[in-house]
Amino acid sequence: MHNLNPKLNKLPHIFCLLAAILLLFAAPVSASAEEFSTEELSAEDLRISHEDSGYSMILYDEADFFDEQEEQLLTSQMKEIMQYCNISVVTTTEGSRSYSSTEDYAVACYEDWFSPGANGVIFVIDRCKDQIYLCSEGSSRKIITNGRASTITDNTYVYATSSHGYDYYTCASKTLEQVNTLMQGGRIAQPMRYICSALLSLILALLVNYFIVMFKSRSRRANIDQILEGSYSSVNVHNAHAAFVNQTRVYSPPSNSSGGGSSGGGGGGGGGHSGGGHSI
Amino acid sequence: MISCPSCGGNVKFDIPSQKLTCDSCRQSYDPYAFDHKTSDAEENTTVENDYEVTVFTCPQCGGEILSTDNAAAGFCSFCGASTILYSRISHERRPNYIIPFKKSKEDCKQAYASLMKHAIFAPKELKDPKYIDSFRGIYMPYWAYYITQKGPLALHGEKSHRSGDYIITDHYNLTGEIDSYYKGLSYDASSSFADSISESLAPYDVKGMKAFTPAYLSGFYADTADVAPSVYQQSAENTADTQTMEKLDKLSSFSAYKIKQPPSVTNALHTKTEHVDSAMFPVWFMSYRKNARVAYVTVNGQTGKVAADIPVDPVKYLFASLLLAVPIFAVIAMFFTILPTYLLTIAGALAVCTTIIYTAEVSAIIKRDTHADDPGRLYKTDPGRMQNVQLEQENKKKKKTTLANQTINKMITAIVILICAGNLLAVAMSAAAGSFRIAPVLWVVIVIALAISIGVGISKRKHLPEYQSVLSYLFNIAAVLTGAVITLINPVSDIYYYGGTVAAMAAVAISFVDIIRYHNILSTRKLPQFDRSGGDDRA
Repeated sequence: MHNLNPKLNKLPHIFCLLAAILLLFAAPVSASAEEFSTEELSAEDLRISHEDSGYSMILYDEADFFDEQEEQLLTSQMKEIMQYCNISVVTTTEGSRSYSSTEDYAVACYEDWFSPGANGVIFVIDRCKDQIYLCSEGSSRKIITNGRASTITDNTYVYATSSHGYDYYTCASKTLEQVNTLMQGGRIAQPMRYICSALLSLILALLVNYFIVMFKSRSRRANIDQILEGSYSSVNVHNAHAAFVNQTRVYSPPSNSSGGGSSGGGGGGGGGHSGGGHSI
Repeated sequence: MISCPSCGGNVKFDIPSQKLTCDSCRQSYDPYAFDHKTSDAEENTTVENDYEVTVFTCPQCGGEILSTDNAAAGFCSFCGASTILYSRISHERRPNYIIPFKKSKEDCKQAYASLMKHAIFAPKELKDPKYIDSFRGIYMPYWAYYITQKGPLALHGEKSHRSGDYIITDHYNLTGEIDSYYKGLSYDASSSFADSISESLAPYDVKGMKAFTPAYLSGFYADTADVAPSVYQQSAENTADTQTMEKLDKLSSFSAYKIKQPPSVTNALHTKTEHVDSAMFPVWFMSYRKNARVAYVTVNGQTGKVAADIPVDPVKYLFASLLLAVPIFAVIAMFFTILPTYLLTIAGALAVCTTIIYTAEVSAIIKRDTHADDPGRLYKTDPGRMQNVQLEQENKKKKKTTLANQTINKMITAIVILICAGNLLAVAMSAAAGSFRIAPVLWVVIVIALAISIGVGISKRKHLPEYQSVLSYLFNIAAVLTGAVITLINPVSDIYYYGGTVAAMAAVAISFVDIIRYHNILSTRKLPQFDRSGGDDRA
């Protein structure tokens, strides 16, 4: 039997064409949906929790900087830190692109995975923005302060540079090691910081002493009131009189500037974070 | 020497009793009892206006001090030389008034000791009792100006208020009869007594002035008046003008109006110097000589106010700085984590800071050593220049720079522009990349400040070539340029920042050596060289 209506014969072609166009547009959508889904899943899949402390860790090597053995070693280091707080190590080459800084990316990752204000530390090796960043939230902020985070990244950034063959594992391992030391109540070495602080202190001391010398050794000159006090003087005006002469008007509209409207209170609310980073 | 009428012993002025007391029999006398001058002020003969003194002249500096005593003087108060001064008998013009010493040598030593307690960096010689004992009581000559302002007053006053978009000003004529006077505005009349010292010793209470009699000089020395009263007349009149204008502003009848400054305040107020009195004011004087410089310690013999040049002992200064550095280090280490980028910026800022201090010291030394701040000394050494100091300053601004200076200026300008442009570009690029860097902006400020400071210093160099060291400038320039370039390149490795920081701080430390050296130059004075031919041009 033939199909008598030629238009009906063309319908399958039209559907095929429409389907092809739809597929063409739908492909990236499904791909991005799949990617998002994979990202979330992969992070959650990598979560390991500590039974006693209730803290968990995530090693998310999106950039694939570590081999399996390195991941195992890092995991064992992270497990030690997990006794004190949540811990995450992230590597990325693209993930931070939509963020203004590695810091923002680190905070976003941490708060997404552990909830805002949860006690923990995240370390990010960001090859997109060429920076490493160590960030802490919750009560860990008292230990991993801005200063200490900067000191740690100052101590370890060098491994992630070309001078050390981009040894990201050592960079992450040393960072975790120093975080663990601080968590255990230990101290970390910061020789250059101390050397430069010592030099800065000496220069400031020289400057302060110079101002002391200036203040103490220069004689104070008497002001005119003191001089007049020791002399005879008198100022009198007899028949003092003020006579009106004329009036002038000058066009001078008041300034349009709003003059310091309040911009409202800032900040406040919610945990916040501490952190420090270094370019690599 | 004044002899005791009772025993013939030496009679000297006794500060506590304010009388003349005999060293031998302790008999006291009224100072005026020894004055043979008649009390008739109208008499104007040479004999009546003069008194006999011994003039001691320093063979080294030519400085002169007078005494009614003829005992040999063993040191010079002006240049600090330990030498027997030449003496000769002379007749000096009698001053009109004298403020007798009220503070004894012991009071003076105590006041000085109290000052030195706080002078922790002073050389130990300045605290040596033997040195302190060399205080010498000297009457310094002063001119006391009597200025009047009498006549019809006609000033312009204004009252303004806003009305909508207009500022409405009511104009008034402020009139009256001014009747003012200032008596006893005093300026030192000795070219050997720097104005900076006399200004620091002020004020003297001229209400405590007494009619002069040579007996007050007994036991003390006196300096000669060798500066004409006309030298400070304008300054005294200006002081009177300023004070009167300030008081007119507060006068109840005029306080509601804003008084406009007339074109000539002196004319508007009818300011006139009625007469100038010569007076002797008491000063305890001590000099500390080191190499070719001399430092003075002076104490107001009436009030006990101390004015001292206090040099710094570099060893004490360094030791104290090391001690102070310890708590500063503790604070920095405990409370601050300074990133290498900012550490370098701080070091650069400190380098600029020391350059500014260094340049300021050079300027002050030039002013001191060329006596630009001492009209009295200029009057003696360079009367032509004294009148043209202001003109000179104006001309300096207009003077064309030499070819060498032009080349240096162009080079400095080119480097500054290059560095600043580079850093601003780095800021723009970092901002465009979404991460604003503040450090390059700070370095632009640092480089510009350094260039201005060094430009000022170099322009003054020709005035003081013997002191000004360019080494300090070169180190600071190298340090700041290195820092600016490091910030511009923004290398990953911290070692560049730390290296730049250490280099900048080393430059700052070297600068401090010069700064302390210059402070010591500023705290001392050139050895004086007087060429006295006798003073008061009215005599």
